Amino acid sequence: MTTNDPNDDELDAHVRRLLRGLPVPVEFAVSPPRRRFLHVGLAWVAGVTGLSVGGGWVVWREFSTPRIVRAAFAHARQEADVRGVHVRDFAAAQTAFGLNDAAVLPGTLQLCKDCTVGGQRAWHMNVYLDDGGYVHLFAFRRIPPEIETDGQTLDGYWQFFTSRSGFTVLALAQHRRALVAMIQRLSA
Amino acid sequence: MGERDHAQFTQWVREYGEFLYRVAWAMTGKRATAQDLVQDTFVRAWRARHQLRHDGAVQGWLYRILHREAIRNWHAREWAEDWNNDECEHVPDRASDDAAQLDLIEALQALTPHHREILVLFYLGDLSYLEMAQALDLPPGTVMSRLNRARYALRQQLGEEYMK
Repeated sequence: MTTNDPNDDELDAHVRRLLRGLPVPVEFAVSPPRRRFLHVGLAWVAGVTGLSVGGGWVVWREFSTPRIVRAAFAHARQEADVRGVHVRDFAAAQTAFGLNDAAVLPGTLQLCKDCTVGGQRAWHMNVYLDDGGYVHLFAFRRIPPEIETDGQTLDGYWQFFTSRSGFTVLALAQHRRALVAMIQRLSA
Repeated sequence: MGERDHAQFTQWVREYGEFLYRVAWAMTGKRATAQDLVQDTFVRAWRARHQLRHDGAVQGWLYRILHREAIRNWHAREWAEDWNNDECEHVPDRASDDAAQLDLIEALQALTPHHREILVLFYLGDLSYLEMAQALDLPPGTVMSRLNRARYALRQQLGEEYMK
């Protein structure tokens, strides 16, 4: 698309060249949402019950997100303002998260606490990252019965991973980049 | 997910990922925010892909999702507030070493959001005036007049060299 004014053409060519030359990541780490097709039937159920599109999305999300993840998000909200170390054995908690040295954390430790999430005993750690905000980590003492790899809800992003010490850990974050940074640092 | 669906999604990312990323970066002035926005846009688009009426309109459709996502997404809350206030003070990400590109990004951030939006879409999208009008939900005549005003505002921001 061009304009008739030669001065505009010159500006347009210059700006277009600069904008189209903006560097982009080598490859976007975008994957299609998982499990969608397992829940198409449920989405139809939501539709025929007369729910709005927005309501249908919420219902779909509720069905498609593992129960323990929903419980973890609720737990994280509840303890969002709690600070400090409240565990009997901090070293054991650190080991569970794959931390032999607190300095390994890519952010500032806000909370470490013994918790029960969705009926499962877990160590709860909340870490603040300058770039990405808070990441809540739950290291489960036993492997939860309902595990999927990762996903996104209206509450944020979530992902299960295995820590260096072999514990199953669930990470929650509002920003995907914070989640990725944390998991890269802690995963096996 | 079937291989065919996965292939289609991958094709979208390959074909439009760079366009959306550059649009989001130019609009928000922040690369990290842009990356989050693009990812969220693709996820939303995939979930709503049945709403796409024909394949030829994918770029404009993805742009509209990106725009809505930016407003909705709390990652871009500050930008959305700027949008509503019709002013913007974002500083570009200084990680890039291309001064001209950074100057341009900075100049765009100094424009009103509506001017910034139309310029970014004009320069980065291969869209006709009609397609731009559809993407921006504006009459085609408004697109042309707003584009001219936006271009003039950009010249002012870029400095005397461009004020011919």
